[in-house]
Amino acid sequence: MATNEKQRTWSSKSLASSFAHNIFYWAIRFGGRYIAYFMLLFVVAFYTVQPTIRKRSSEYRLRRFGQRSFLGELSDCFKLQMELGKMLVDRAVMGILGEFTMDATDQDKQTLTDLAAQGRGMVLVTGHVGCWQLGMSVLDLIDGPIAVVMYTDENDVDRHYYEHGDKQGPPFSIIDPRGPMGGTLEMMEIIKKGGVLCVMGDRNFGSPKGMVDVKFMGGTISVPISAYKIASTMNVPIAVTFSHRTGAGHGRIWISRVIDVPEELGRRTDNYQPYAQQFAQGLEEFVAKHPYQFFNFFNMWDHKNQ
Amino acid sequence: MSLKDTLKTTLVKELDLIDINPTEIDDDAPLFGDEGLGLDSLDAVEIVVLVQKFFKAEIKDAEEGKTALMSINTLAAFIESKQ
Repeated sequence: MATNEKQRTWSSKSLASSFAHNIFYWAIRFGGRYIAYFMLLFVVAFYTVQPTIRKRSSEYRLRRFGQRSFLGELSDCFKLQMELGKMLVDRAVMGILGEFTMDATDQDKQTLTDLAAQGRGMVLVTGHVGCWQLGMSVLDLIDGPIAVVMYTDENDVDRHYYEHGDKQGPPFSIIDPRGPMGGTLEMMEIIKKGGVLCVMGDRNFGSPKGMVDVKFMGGTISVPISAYKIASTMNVPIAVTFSHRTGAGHGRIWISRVIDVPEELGRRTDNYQPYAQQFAQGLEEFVAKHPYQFFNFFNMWDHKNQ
Repeated sequence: MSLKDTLKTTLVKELDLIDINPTEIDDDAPLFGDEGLGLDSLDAVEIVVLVQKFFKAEIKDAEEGKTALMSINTLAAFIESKQ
């Protein structure tokens, strides 16, 4: 999955400067979460009035909310940006003050526990929705090694929660998909140890060859098949998992579905399409429930952007 | 048939590399990337499994894999070291 930079137009890089981020971190340290939320109002308003920023989420908003008046469009865009901002504030609060709670229904907890108890390892496939970056923080509920496939743009000034203060680093290992052989050997190593591999299922980090088309919100998007291929080859289950922010400093994990990919599906990309489609279905169900917690701010339906 | 020849034939057959003749694969050519065999990262998953299945050689961790999966020569050397 050596990243094809020319074909990828989305970016994980923050819109704001390092200085702006530090102001927020300072505000959180000395004033707490709600000061930062208040500051967000002005920052988000500033971005919302910029047509280039609104355009990034326009295709999603059109598909999710339909044709809207100009004021309606501003409102939707503001809410989307605000939810993202609150999630980033919560992430910083967790890093600086250690305050965040993530829960799950008893049924979902049991599902995760049962999958882990099989001892085969598992793949968690998630998306850029809700509070996915904080969802990773509760993976330590599961015994065994945990690895997260994470792409970070160079010079990104935005800090993960475990990068604040004197934190000892994340409670999981990070696999860079730009590494040798796209990090697949590291992914396999985690599974062989009976661990948990967490992969984003909605964006391409690598070769366009490893993509498949799925139906999503009335159109077609391309999603990576790496998770399904690894699950098939190594005979491990997949848990499609999303998290959403339920309030200030609170989130909830949701196990959308468990996918058992048949063994030895081989090299043909199309063989993995039905399983990628199940993920897309889960993602669509998520945005139906939490329309303002979808953070793919690029036109996913335009395949040039994948 | 030598181990390297068997390896080439197995890779071509199991990875369904229809445009490649096993006899034309250079022993030192990189398996991955634009040069050499041109395999991608998802093929690495397949190779790890087929090396274990057909040659009884387990690639236990990523470091071992990175060394072994460079070329036919390195992969053959790895398999020999495990037998």
